[in-house]
Amino acid sequence: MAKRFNMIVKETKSSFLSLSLPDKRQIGKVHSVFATSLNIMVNNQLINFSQEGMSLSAHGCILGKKKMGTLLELCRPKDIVKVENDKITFYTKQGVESVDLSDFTEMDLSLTKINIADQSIAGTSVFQSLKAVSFEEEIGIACDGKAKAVFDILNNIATSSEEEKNKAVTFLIGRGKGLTPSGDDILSGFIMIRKSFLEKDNFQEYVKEKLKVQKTTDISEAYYNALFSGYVSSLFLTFLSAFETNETLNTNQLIKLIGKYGHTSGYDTLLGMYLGLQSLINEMEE
Amino acid sequence: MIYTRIKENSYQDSINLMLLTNSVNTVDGVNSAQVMMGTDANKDLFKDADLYNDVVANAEPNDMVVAIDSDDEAVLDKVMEEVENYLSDLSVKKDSDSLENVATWSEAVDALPDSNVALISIPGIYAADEIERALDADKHAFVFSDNVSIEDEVRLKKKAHEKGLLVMGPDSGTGMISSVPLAFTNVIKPGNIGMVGASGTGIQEATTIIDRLGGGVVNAVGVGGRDLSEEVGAITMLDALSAMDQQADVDVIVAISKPPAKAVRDKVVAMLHSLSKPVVAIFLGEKPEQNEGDVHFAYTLEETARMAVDLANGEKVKETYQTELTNADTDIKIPEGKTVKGLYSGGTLASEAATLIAEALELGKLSKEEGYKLKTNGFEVMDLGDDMYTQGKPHPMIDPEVRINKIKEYAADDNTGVILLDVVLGYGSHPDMAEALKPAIEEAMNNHEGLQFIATVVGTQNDPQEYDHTRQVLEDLGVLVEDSNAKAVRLALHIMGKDLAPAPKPTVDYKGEKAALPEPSEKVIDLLTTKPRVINMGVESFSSVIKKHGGEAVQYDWRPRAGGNQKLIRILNELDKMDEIEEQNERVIDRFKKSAPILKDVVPAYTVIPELKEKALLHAGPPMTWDDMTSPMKGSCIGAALFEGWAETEDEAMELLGSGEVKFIPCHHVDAVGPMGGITSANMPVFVVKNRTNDNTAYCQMNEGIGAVLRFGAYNEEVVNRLHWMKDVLGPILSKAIKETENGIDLNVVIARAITMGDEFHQRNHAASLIFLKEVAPIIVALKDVDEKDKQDTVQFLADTDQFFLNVMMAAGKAIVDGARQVKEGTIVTTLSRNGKDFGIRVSALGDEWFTAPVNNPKGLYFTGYSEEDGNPDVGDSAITETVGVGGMAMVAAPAVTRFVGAGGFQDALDVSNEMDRITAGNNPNWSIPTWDFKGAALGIDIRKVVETGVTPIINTGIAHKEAGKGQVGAGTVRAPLGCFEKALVAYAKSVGISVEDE
Repeated sequence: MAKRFNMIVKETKSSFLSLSLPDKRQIGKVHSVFATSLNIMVNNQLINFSQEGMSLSAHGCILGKKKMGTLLELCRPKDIVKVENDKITFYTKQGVESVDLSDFTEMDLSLTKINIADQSIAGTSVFQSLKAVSFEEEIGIACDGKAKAVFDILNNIATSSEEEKNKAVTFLIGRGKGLTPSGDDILSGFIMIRKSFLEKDNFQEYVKEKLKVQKTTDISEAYYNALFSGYVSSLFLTFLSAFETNETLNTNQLIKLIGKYGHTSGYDTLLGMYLGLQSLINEMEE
Repeated sequence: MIYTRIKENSYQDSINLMLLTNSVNTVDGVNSAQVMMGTDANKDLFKDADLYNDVVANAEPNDMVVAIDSDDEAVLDKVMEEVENYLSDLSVKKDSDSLENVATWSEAVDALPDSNVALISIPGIYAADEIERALDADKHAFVFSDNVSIEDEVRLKKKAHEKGLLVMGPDSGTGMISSVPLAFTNVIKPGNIGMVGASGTGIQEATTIIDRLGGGVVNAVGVGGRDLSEEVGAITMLDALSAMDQQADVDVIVAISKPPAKAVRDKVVAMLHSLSKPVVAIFLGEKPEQNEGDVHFAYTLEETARMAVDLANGEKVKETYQTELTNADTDIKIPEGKTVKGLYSGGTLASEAATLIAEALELGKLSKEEGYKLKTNGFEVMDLGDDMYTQGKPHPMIDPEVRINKIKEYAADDNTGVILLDVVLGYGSHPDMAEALKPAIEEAMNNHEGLQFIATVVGTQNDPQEYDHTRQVLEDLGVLVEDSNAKAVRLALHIMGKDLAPAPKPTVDYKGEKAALPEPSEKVIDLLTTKPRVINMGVESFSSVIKKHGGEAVQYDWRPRAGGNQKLIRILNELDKMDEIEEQNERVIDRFKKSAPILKDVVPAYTVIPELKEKALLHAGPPMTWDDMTSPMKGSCIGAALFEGWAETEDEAMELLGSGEVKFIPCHHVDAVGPMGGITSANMPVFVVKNRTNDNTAYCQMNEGIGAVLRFGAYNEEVVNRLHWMKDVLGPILSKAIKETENGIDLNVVIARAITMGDEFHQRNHAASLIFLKEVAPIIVALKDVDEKDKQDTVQFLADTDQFFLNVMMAAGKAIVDGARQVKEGTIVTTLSRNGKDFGIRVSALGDEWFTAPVNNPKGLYFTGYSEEDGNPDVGDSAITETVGVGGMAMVAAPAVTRFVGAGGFQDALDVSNEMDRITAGNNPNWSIPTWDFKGAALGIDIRKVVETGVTPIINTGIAHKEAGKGQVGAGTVRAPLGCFEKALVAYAKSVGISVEDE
């Protein structure tokens, strides 16, 4: 049985990864290698390997420092990778290295419904803490009139026209620099919140359809795919749990922690979450 | 006219020499040229090229021979300049690679103790011995060399199999072990495919297509073109396959072979069916009709690659692999009557092209004519890598010349419609073959309308030449480039209106027999699953490639063992098997180290050497007669006769000495040594040095100082008077002084101190002489019953004579070696000595027997007014210093002396000592050299190492004038001649029961 997200152990894999591993041999490539993590792409699916101490990605796993260090030293983009029977084999120029995920502790990274009275969202420590963040200084896209108009559309998503939604989503998908463009992070945060509070929300489907024609980065796509299936990284699950504890101090600490994630990725996602909460409040007011 | 020049002892690998030959051929005025090592096989090539003369005939295998045909002799100087520039460029490249180069096998093993592969790219006639050496040392052999006999191949592969090792080759041009390219190899992405191939370019074509299809290969083991012959029986292929079957990272196995022997084919196929993994097999030339079970048979190398990639991806193989041609839409058509000419650098690619063309056009059987794979009805496919095109020339993958000429030739042939080419990339190949061929292709296309070039590029984007670049260069020229050789042939046929369409190939159940898999060897599994640790003997560029790709390599600058002398090589090989020699040598040099030479006295020679009580003189070196003595030695004899009062005049002395009345005895025969001429007579005072450890005693006359002295052949009155003073004053006073010491003077202590102060004890004894003076001067001053002036003269003489300690050192050296000579065992040199005619050595196991060869003339610096022409040939027992590890052997200890003896600067001194270290069995920790990072002096010259390497001891020496009476004219160094070591080795081999007869 999958453990819940707050019980991170050294060799851990996301429950979403377990679901999405191929059932027959697949050959793929190392996609990208960073200081403490790497991604592989197999059958158009991204799998993330991060070092212990980092957040568990919805489409990834956590390795011990030693093993991760070995992989980071050996792997280079385009190296061949084989996935078969939960075992991932890296064929690198410096040698062959394997990771057998079958013995990894599985962590449930599925979003769970947040049950608080809608009218009290505005009173939660999460909303209040997010409200206090100076997003304009922290996020990766310029908060000019165009961006603000888009945020306004998201804030009022229930009453936005199709044209407005189209404008907002077109504006955000793939917008910004980096591996996960800021616009994608904002959309992800936004969807994350709405999926956590609402039984059904057709905005996700709207984004999903749009992604078929408007491309973004492979890594953003991987996050979207997991999110559409109801899975997010352990870091955001932790943040969402703050709705239950409702402690301002704890929430602020989490915001700071998330803020360090990526170049602006953390704050981008938090902005999306804030806009999501705002949209829910606005909907309630109506 | 043929002009030749020899560069002695200047070994270069064949690839360098072939490229150098090309370079030399471009020098203005050269009609033709050849640069090769002086082996017998190469001499035949010189003959074939009409570049043979007596100079070439007399060249040794380690000599580089430069032979040119020119109308002007002066052109040879220009050629030599080109040669020197080329070699100099090579040495710069070598430095920048900062590879660790070693000169012997044992050094290579020491440098890389966990090495598991020997990569052998040396002339074929020597390869078998080196393969065997690798196997004996528990290492796999990757054999790039060709021309190994089938008998040797069978024997060595059987031996390897029994030891759990692989012999990959001979003639294995390409290979990849744990993703590390070996020899001429492409850079292939690692992946879950393992390959075993009896065809170099077959492996290259298949692996590069796999790479370009997105697949990867982790191991590609070349087994050599004859592995699947009836004689060899696929020994290496079967062992490699069974190990790959156990390799967890491999999911698909590919086996590639030229047409095998029927029985071997059946055996291999039965085994392929026993493997637990899906297999793709191609027996080039066979057209399979079906796949059987998990064994899938391919017709072309492209199909092999595509099948392997599908299986590696977990897919099933398809019934056909007829992918669309890149240039399918071309509207080029070749008129009827025109033919296809294939100009291939890859033999297997040529065979594949010939097979496909012959099949499509129903041309019947392939050609057996040398150099051709197809030659029917004007359709010709040439293998330009065939021996007939590569004798003495670089392979066409390296050198475009042969192909350029053929392009011109075929383009001019009106029947030629299409010229098919391969461009093989990868390490070892030409840096940009497409660019190199460009002018010839352009010219051919411009001058011959309708002529079409079609090419295939064997390579990957990660190859040094880059696949895309090469392809682009060709396409920009208008060459139609296809993704594989098979497709290039298909395109050629297509534009001639003939399309090849393979029949679907079903997969049926296999009902035949399966063969039991050989038990996979752990050593082979280790080879395939770890980065190779390689001793690279031969082509140096292979080492840097291995290192670049994560393997380890030590560059063994291989030279023919024992200068290529087959008899000596055989003896060395036999001796290699006798582990006890190492132990014996260890004991011999242990006796050197534990010796305790003590200076006990100075006495008249006759009192300790009874032979001198008669009319006898001692001389340096091995035995000789008066008639054979050189002029300075005769001069010394005259001086001695005058000193002893045997004659009043020079003429009287000459008459006496020539009369046979005086007996001449080598110093070494009576426990003595003597410098230069070594002439010692009854009343000359000698040092008495006792080796306390072994209770033996040695003697040496005292040093007379410099200038006109007896040892250099001077015999005038001044010389004789000095000898009398030494007999009457110096000797007795030193005797008294030494006796005043409690136990004599411990010479080990003096030597150990002086070696740290810049002495090497042959040409430089400044420090030791001063230490000696420090020991004896206070005692001399305090001596009673001795005339004060005599005391003062003695001390002054000692203070003036920088080389005084040399003779003490010589007596010490003699005491040390004679102590070691008390037990007869081992291959350590116990005497080095010269008499002006012969250089003589003695060896620990062979007692008093001398092994001689003519002495060399010293090379060095001459005093003003003199030159090498004035120098006397090498003479003296003073090489006893080198015998015990000092003198030239310890050149690095005395940087100050290196320039004086003409040995260059400090680096040269260091190089000399490092070189000497290669021929010795150990080092003497008692005599530690600060300038050698406190390493002990090189000790124990091993005749096996000398013969193996051709490196002979270097001796620091004074140079006497060749005419008696003129004394010293210079100082320098001289090499011991190799001949005496070779004779000693043969005698030693005989003594231990090894047959030494010529085979």
